[in-house]
Parts: sequence; C-alpha cells; structure tokens
Amino acid sequence: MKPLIRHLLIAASLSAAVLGAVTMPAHALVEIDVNKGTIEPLPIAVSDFVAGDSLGSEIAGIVAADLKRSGLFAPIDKGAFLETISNPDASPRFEDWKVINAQALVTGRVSKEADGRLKAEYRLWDTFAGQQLDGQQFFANKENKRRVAHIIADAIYERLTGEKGYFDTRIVFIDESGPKTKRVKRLAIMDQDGAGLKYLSKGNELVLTPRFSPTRQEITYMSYESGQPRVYLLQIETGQRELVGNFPGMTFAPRFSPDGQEVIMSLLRDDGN
Amino acid sequence: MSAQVIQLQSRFAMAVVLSALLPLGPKPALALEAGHTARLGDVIARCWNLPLIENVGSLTAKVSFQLDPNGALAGNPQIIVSSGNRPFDESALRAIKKCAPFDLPRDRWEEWKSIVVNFDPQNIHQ
Repeated sequence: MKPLIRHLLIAASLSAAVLGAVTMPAHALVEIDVNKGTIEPLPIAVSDFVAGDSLGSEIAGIVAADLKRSGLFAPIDKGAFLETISNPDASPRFEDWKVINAQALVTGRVSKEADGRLKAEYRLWDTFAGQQLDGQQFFANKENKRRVAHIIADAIYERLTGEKGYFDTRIVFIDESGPKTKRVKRLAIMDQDGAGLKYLSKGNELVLTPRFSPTRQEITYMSYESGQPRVYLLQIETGQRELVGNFPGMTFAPRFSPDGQEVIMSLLRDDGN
Repeated sequence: MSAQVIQLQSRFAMAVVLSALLPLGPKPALALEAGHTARLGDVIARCWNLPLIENVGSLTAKVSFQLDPNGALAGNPQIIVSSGNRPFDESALRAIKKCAPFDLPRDRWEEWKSIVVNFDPQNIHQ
C-alpha cells in the first residue's frame, strides 16, 4: 500500500475511533424505556438446502420441524418465499426475506464426497442486520442424515436463543399396545422427533422404568422375565445385555449415577427391608 | 514527500480530535414532549421479539441510533450497554431496524435525531 494512502487511512481510523468514543451518549436528547416486548415465536425462513436430489429439502424440512416443535420459532411457509437460493454462500437478497417477515434465514448445501460421505453446510443470516450470524459444515455417513439435520437445528437454536439445543437426542420409553386385558409392553427408543423408532425388547415380558446413561449409549431398566423384578443394563448399539448385580430378593427403580459409572437401585430383601 | 504527509496527517488528526471534544452548539432546552416518547416506546415494544430465554426479565441493554429528518435510520443502531447476552442484544437491534422509519414531527428533527433506548423487559406481554 502506498505510504500516503496508508497514512490517510490510519488518520481516518484514528479519528473514527475518537469520534466513536466521545460522540454517542453526549448527543442523545431522547432517552426511551422499553419495558415490554412480545413473546412470539421468532419468524425464521429455512430455505431448501442446495443438493443434487431431494436430500436438500429433506434436511431443511427436519431443521424447520425441529425449530417449530420447540415452540420458539415460526418457520415461514416455503410457498411465501420470494427469492430462490441457488448459491447458499452468497449474500441473500435481504429485502426479499424482510418483506415476508423473516427475521432470520437459513441457507445450506448438501453434497456427496468422493468417499461416499455426505457433506452438509449451513449459513444463518440476520435479515434485518443484513449479515451472516453463523455457519458450519459437517461430514457424515448417509445413514446419519437425520442426525446432521438435528445438529444443524441445535446450532441455530443455540445461536438465536443462547440456550443449548436438544434436537440431537433420543428418548427411551415403554411402548404399550394390545387390549386392556393383554397389554404388551416393549422397551423402545426413538429420536426426539419421533423418527427412527426401534424396539429393544420382545414384548413377552413386563419391562419398566428405563433410564438413559448420562455418559454412554446404555440403558438400565427393570424386567420381570425371570419371574422376579431384576435390573438390567443394555448396550444400545450392540444389543448386549447384562444383569446388574445378583441380589437375593427383588431389585427396583434403577438409576444411573451422574457420572454414568454406577447403577443405583432399591433392594427388597426377603426379610422385608 | 513523507515528511509533508506526516505533517498533514497530524494536523488532520488534531482537527478531528478538537472538533470531537468541543461542544457542538448549545443543547436545546426541551427534549420531545412526553406524549411522543411514550408513543415511540410502545411502537418499539411492538417490534421487539423478546428472545425466549430463562432469565430474560433480568437482562437490560441500551441501544443508540440516529434518525434523518424523514424518521429513517441514519447508520446502524449500536449497542452502548450490552446485556451480556448476545441473542438479547441482537433482538434489541433488530427491533429498532424493524420499526424504522419512525413517525415523528419533522419540524422538530433537532430534538429527536439521536435516541437512546433502554431495553428492560420488566413487563412481558403476550
């Protein structure tokens, strides 16, 4: 850079800094208190991720559904969009999004890597500020496409609310079916949005009170299959199962310790304690 | 050549520093009357999407912005006192941008051309 230009730039930035420090509060003649706002879900537009196939709209759909289900966001219907995003990296036409009332916009892309993995990237834009707030990219196997969408939804949720997201989580529960006289209870697991439902027990025994390990992919639960209520530890990924302890009498109400290293339970001994 | 440039630069910088420190004319005696400021507060409140965070009632931020004679934003609103919570600060800036331009008496622009808003959500309404 030529010395003359550089000196002028330094002078300009120095003066701007000085003005900034001194001007603002001294000149304000009107000071207003705003003590209320509206608690409404934040209107957000999630545009279909650019992709060679339907995966782009599928991922965007999962993200929008997660955000909507949290109650804190109101995704705008795709039919209302004015601009079609063809390049998620370029600045969008912010006016087109402001006019449909979107306060935030998500653009993204899904592509296949040479090794067959998926690459998913997103950008989060503040339409009124006219700038990007966040952006990340993830690599995953194709089977994990829903998890990637949940992870993106978590990142957007956290950036706009300041709270940690919970969309990349699963729920373990007892699934009940059958007539009242012959209830079938099965241990089951599903994603928090209801997808990926899997049964973990066969339904021919009474199962109760499942609990997730806070640190590992393990579940502890009660089962009456041996005739007596017993506590088991189940590895979710492998399906391997073990009996927790071999105590005389009955064992109930298993829980994990906070560090996930121990299972705590109640014992009912034969002497009644 | 460079000696001349340095002299030019320091005179320029000094002129700028002096103008920033000198008061720019007498302060008008009366700011906007209460009716206008109360209305402005309500207008901004309606544009403000409170971020739904747990301790939002205990957060406050101060935003400063300048308006042109048409009531439109001149430059970007600035956070002058942060709440310490980024989404909260951003929601306040967004509220100002969303609400602009403001409907204010043109003939009294000198009185409302620079505004500071305290975002302090004590009364959260649905």
